[in-house]
Amino acid sequence: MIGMPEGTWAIAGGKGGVGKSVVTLSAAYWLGRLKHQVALLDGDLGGANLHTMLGVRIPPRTLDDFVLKRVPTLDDLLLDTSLEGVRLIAGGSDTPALANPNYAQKTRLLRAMAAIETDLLLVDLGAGTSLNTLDLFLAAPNRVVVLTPQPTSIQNAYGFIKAAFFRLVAKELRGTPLKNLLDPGQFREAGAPQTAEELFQEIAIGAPDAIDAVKRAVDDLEIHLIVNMIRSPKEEKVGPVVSEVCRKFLGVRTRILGAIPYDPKIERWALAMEQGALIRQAGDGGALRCAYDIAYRMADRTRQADSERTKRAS
Amino acid sequence: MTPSAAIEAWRSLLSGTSDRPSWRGDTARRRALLPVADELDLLGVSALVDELAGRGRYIAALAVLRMANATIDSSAPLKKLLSELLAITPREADPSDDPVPSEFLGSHRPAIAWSVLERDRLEIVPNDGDFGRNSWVISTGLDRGPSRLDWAFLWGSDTEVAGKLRPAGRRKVTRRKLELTAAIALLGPAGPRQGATRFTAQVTDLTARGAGLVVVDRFDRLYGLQLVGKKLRLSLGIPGRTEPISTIGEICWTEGDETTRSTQMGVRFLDPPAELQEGVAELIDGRRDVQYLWSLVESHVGRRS
Repeated sequence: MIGMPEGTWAIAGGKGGVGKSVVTLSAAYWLGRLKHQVALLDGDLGGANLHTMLGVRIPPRTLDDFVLKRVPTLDDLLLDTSLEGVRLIAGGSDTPALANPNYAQKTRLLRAMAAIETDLLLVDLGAGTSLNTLDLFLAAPNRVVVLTPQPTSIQNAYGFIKAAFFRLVAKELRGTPLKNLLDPGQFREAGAPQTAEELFQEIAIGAPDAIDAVKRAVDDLEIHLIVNMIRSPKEEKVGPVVSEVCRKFLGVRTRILGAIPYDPKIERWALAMEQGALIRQAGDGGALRCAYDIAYRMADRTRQADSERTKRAS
Repeated sequence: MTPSAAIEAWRSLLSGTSDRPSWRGDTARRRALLPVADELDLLGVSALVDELAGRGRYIAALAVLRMANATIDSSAPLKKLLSELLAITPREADPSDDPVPSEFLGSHRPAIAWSVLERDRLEIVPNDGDFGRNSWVISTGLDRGPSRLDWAFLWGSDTEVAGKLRPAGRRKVTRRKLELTAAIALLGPAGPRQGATRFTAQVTDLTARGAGLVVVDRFDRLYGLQLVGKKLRLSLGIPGRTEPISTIGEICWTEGDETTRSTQMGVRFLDPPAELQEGVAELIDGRRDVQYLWSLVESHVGRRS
């Protein structure tokens, strides 16, 4: 496992259109205003467009340049943006290898991410539960899932967390007699484990040497939830509901990082090219105010984690 | 031992009244039961096989055929007889062929039929306890042992078919018991009853392609029926769905347990509707959590569009 800096935040959603990128940009905007150095990395390996939302039509440097080894580090790709203190690593678009990196490419990318010189690195992941997306998500010490009160989003957000959970466990089962336990064909059989507890029971019997490592990995897995586009106070309960199901069935801890009300302005911004500038003009009201609270918590948590790591090291 | 005496010995051995056979390693006894090839009473073999098969004891019939086959060096006459008995046309062995009527051996008939004809590839040995009392083990390989994937083992003389086709022998993931019941209608004439025979079954295994059922047959309605190959309608109540899902299946194998008066059977769905596949997916594809998720969403958030 590559040790990533405590300021690394991976933002996923399982479903497209839930506002991941807008939430990421808004948080980055406020983190910059709070005088943090922020790097945004477009982690949608197959469909990068964060640069477009920041008004950059054709980025001069992208992740392609790193994958093709034209530049040695990701720092070489950082582009200044119109947001104070926020720089961007644009995603590639013309390298098929980037959409499906092999193990060596993925490891090199993760190492390079760990080496970026910045206070906070926000990785905006693509939709879906591809293994590469899950690996980037799990590699970050801070993981965020954005969802909306839409049923499809609730289901996909939970599905994403569940997929991440299984990916994590499957990694721990490599080289054990149960290495195939979570293969799709096996896992879809009747009687296959449906809860963490059932899964642990099978591992304890089938691969007893791995059970402690599996439980530790799951214990360490904490996921933050942001509920976006809330239209009524009731809809805010979507976060606790997903948390409860994660706890009960997966044994995964979740925290509500924030809730953002539906703001029609955001949709209008999404149609515009200069979203960064529009965010700046939005002032402190509504959705952006909530994004400030989220950014503040992200900074605070990063500070705490850094402090704990320093204490442990000393 | 004369040929007719040998056949009588087989009859006794397979009648269920003799002691449990113990042949493993007992070559002398085996040889004693095998008559001289040239003197083998083929008609006697035929009659015994007919008798056993007529009582639904197909494995016992196969055992006789195997023993007869093993006694003849030049086996052309016996192979002709076997062909007639099995209603197949002799040809180059091709296990992918399926020449035996389904009423006879069920879904594994090609492998078993060809095993009978290919004497060097088949051994029948009594079970020493690994597979339960009165079980017979038919090995298609040279090595013996339950860990061999190419073993075909046949459960007791009441078992109609078995072997490596039984899914339990191939599973890598232990299945848990499902708490599901299904209403079953056995379609078409079965025994003296001309209409459908209806009963309730416990579903022990379930996939989108088939199910394992256990029927407690307290009134002996299934006793003596030739079930393998029969069609049935299965109506399955899946939690979270208001209406049961119905589909037609074919019985692939059965296994009786006289102690509990239950019959275990494997059923293959013939044309499962999409809703069954969805229902099964909901049930087995880790969807218990999704059902819980929706129940919380409905109670706390108040809508599910």
